[in-house]
Amino acid sequence: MTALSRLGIRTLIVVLVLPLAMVATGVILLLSWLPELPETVAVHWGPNGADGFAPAWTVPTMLTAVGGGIAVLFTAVVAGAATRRGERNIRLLATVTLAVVTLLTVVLTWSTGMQRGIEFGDAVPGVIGPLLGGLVAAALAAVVAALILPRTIAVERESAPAAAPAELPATARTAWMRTASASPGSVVVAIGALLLVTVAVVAAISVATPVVWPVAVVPALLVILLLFTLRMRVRVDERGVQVRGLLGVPRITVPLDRITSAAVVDVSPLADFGGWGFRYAPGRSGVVLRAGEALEVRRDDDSALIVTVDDAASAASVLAALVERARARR
Amino acid sequence: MLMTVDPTASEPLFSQLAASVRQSIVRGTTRAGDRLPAARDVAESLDVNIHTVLRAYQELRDEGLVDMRRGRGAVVTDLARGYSGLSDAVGTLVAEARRLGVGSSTLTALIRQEYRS
Repeated sequence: MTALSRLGIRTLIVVLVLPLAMVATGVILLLSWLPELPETVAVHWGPNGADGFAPAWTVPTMLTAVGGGIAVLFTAVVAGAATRRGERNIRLLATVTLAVVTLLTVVLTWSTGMQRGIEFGDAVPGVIGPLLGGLVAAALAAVVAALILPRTIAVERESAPAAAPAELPATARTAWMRTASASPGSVVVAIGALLLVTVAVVAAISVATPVVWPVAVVPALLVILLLFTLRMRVRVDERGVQVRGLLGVPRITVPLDRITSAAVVDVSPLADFGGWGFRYAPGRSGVVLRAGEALEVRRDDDSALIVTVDDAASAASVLAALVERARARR
Repeated sequence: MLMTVDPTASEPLFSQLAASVRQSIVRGTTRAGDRLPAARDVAESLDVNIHTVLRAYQELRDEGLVDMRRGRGAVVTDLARGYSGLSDAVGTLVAEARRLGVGSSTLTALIRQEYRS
């Protein structure tokens, strides 16, 4: 609860109260319409109109589970972010939560509501209206969220102390190198997702007429992306810091003379960066392959590069020593 | 992995490099199964010849501490597991020396002597 109270009432309204109120309104409307609705309603539309059907009671159930679930889950994520250093993401996360729940509620409620009074088997109206309505409502919700949310969400920013420089002999040349890897769990998830996509694409290619060869690009692109991001080489030496993929690209370099200090920080990918991989936020970028300890490289323009890598303490102290030595020489 | 060479030291560069790797294994930051950084990267970072790095890796291979395989690079062997015990022993040794007020130069001298006997 301490994390929740630290969020402030305005953030809580946007990320939790309004979404839950939205879902509750939708569910009440849907339940009150149940007697007028056909027992089986259209719940999915394809290019040629409605093509998926389910019992009418499943719609309010799904809205409660998914809409309520999103609100609760993202409240937890935002609360987690507030206890860390992710305050820049809080506004975005809270706004997106409200917008997504609004979209979901409006589309589900409208597309079901328009089926009142028709019999199962009758032509179901198109879904374009509810979709457009949902998007407009989501955009409005985002504006409302931006108005309600405080401009800067003050959280107790725990800036990690700059690492103490390691003791290096004045004449020594020193480098620190390590391969940063994604956690085994996320590698399994990534490979599983890749297999799933590949199976789906193979199925699509073998079934569809006309043949849809171009979709083979999707798994190919995924393989390349994974090769780029599952493992990265991190190097700290007299030239500065470099992070690069196993194939040599992508490559991020920070020259030593632009580095002011280094620190060890604890990264929570979702709360601090909104996800994994190469992340950008105002003032900081991240190479986030897993949760946990990370090297923070602070640049002279107050921006920071954060790389999740083991033994970050050694990296930070070596970097601090190299920076100090370069400064003394100047 | 922390790699340090001091060109002004009397110890040859390759054995300084090998010592860096050993130290990293003893400290436990590099473990069995870990891959050593590519020789070319180390050479570039420390501004030493790539053959110096390869010679260091070869020395470690002769000790059985790393395995060199084509295409896989230098991988730390299971022998590294025993080294963590050494790290604990060094910790105990230094703590004991501190308690007795024995400085680092005296302790290293004692260790050198022990090696000779």
